[in-house]
Amino acid sequence: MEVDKGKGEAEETRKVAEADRDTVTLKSSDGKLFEVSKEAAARLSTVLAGMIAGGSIDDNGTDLKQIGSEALENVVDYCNKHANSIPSAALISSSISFNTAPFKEPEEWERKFVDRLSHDALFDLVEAANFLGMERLLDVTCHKISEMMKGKSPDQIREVFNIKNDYTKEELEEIRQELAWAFYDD
Amino acid sequence: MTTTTTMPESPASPPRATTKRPRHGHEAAPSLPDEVIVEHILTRVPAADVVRFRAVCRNWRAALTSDHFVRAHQTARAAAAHHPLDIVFFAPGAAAGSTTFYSSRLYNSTTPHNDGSSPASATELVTVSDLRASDLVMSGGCHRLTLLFQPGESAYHVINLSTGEHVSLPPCAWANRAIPYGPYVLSSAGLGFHPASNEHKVVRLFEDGWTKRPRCEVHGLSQLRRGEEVPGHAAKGLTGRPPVFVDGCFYWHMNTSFNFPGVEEEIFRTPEPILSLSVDTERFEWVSPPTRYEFLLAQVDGHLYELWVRTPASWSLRCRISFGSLLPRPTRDAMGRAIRMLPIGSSGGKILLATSRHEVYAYDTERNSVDRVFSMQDFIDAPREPELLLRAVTGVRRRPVAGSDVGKLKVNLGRSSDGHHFTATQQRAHRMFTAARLLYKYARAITSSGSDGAATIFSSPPQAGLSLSKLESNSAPSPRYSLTSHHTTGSRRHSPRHTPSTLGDAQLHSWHLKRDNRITRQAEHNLPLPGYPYALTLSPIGGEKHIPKQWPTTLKNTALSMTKITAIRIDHNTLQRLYTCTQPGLRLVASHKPPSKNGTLLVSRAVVPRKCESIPPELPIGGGAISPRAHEITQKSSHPDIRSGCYYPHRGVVVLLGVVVLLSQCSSGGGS
Repeated sequence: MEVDKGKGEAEETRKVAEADRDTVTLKSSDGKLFEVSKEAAARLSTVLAGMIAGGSIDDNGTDLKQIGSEALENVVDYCNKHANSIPSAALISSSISFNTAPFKEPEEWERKFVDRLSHDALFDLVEAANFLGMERLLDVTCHKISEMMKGKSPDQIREVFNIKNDYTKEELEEIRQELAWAFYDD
Repeated sequence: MTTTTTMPESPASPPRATTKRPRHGHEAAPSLPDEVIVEHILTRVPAADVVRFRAVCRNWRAALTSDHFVRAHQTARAAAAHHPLDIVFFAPGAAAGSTTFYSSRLYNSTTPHNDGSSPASATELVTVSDLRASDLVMSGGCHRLTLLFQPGESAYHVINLSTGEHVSLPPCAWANRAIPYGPYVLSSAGLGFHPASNEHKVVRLFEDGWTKRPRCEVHGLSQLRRGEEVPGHAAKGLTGRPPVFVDGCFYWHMNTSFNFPGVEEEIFRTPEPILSLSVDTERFEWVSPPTRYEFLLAQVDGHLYELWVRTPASWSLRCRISFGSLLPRPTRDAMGRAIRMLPIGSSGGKILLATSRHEVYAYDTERNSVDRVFSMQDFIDAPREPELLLRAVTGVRRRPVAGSDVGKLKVNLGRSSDGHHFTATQQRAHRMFTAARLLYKYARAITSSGSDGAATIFSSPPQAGLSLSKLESNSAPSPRYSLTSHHTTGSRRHSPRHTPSTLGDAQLHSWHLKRDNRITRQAEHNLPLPGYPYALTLSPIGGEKHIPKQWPTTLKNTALSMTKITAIRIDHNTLQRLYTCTQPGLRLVASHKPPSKNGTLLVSRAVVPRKCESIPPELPIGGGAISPRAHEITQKSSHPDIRSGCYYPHRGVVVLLGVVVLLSQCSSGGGS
């Protein structure tokens, strides 16, 4: 992975002991450590912001059991890039409600960022962003996925999303007839 | 590794375990939480895709058809739209008998864009295969829906321009003509929204061709109500324009002097020149205009405006436009070449004025300047100055002259993504002269139609000005009645256990109730359909339908999916017909009442939504979002296919007034 700051190799040795660092260390599910700027983490992630404010950050690596190292690497990468490119903070709305805030189109670097991801990595990143409450990252990645979904057939969608088809054959036929105009492939 | 910190639960954290499948190849994908999929991903997918994805699984179907999702989808798509205001027009489609709707952003057509791109670009919204453009009039709109009128067949359709889904209203009753064998019929229909029931309604005010009495039909709510008697002579002053819908009320402008010059005008004169009908109470009221001068009604920004205002009691003046001093001069001169114009909405604080030369100007109230922001000539070879707009407010009647403004209509769709290039075929000549004349009459309806920002026309006599004033809206119509729920059981497809947990039970419950509300007892009667030898029993939810095999597929109901339409016909004398045609998954409901006591047999016919065959792969919802893969229409030469001597007024109509303003934000206009 062409990561410029979020290196995955060096953090094993990096055991910084000072309390007042400007970075936080995150630990993935498989034990790898990543370092990210405290300011960026607090600004981009509601969850991390809450943890930093609550003092529940562990200097030896905050355990994020739910996130694999690959996804976490991408998250950290995104945070670093975001910190460099966008000076002003985008405010984070509640993630419970539907996203009613105007969605800004992904910027060029964000588009490139998600474009280089593999399918699995993208989905993992969505999950990580959702878990960490990173609204903007979630927006960007979901936007990418929704673009991928355009024009796909239900079969393809099931495959992509790993969904079991629980319709009976008759029901499916019924739906297709009902919405025949939407199935322009047949 | 010891867990030294406990991870707080994210507020949106999915309850579902993040189970991952072993990755082998690309086939196995991690399964995302339902909430993320539905709320963050599917809300961004175009409407047509959303409809198709109902076939993915039960959970998705339940989620995608919920009111909650539909609202969220609309909100998300509207928020993603960059340009909230688009001009929508239509032209004959590539296939014979089809109509293609286009939307164009407002652009400054007098100065080229900075980035060098052609300012004139339009996006193909949708192509409808079974509506002929030559016989089509945009007759009003509300939210995402647009009311279309086919004068030749006297048929009304409601179309969702985002998806192309459309339903046809029941065949409308014969309307009387203003003058025997005259060109105009006394009929006016509009589309409105009833917030209390969250449903759209189509109201048609007309003079019955048989009884010669004014009648009003309300196609909408599934609650049968006997409306108030239509005031006498109410239909005599209909000018063919659709009513203006503001704050839950329809407003008709009664202009008897237009239809009946001379003595008859005195006889048919109405108490006030504005008639209002509340969709909530279904009561008529006369509204006093601020002036006795000739005026026209318009809706801008969700308010009712009236032109030529003096000192209104309940009207407040919004602005005055003086045409003599507009800047810059060339634009003013170009604008002045048009005989008529009308406000069709506002955008970014500017008032949009459409002229009869198929152009739209944005008027800046502060700088007293105008910019041309849209020109139909960029897309279609339109007639220069068709005679089919509104007559001037000054009272000069302009008689439509047959054939004088035959438009050469040609649309070249070029430079689409796949290099596909084709020319739209010309439509056949209009078959009925009267229908054509009707189009003249109804043409004005087109420009004055809009979704949330509708409009009207005023004249621009030299040295004259224009005043826009606002009617202080009454208090919002209170939900005077609530629907009673008729519970139908056995909706197996939508049972709550298939609901994703993230969609609250309460929401789904209300959704169920709402759906059930439309199922009335009458709706489950066996219905002999005229013209079909067999009876039809259709369940609204589906599952128990008995459709004969030979029933054509095209007759099957594809109800509007993203928006709900319930169509009932209520005759104010006798409740004749009940049509319900509702939300996704719901089937055709048709019923009839038994013969009334006086022995009149009341017959119903089916609501037959048409099938739309061609849907562009990417459909912006509402017309706000412009897809990058859109076809571009470019200006091309005139069409060689016009036969001399044919009467093509509809082309002018198509061109000129296939103009509608779509607001992507669906918040205004009585929507909430």
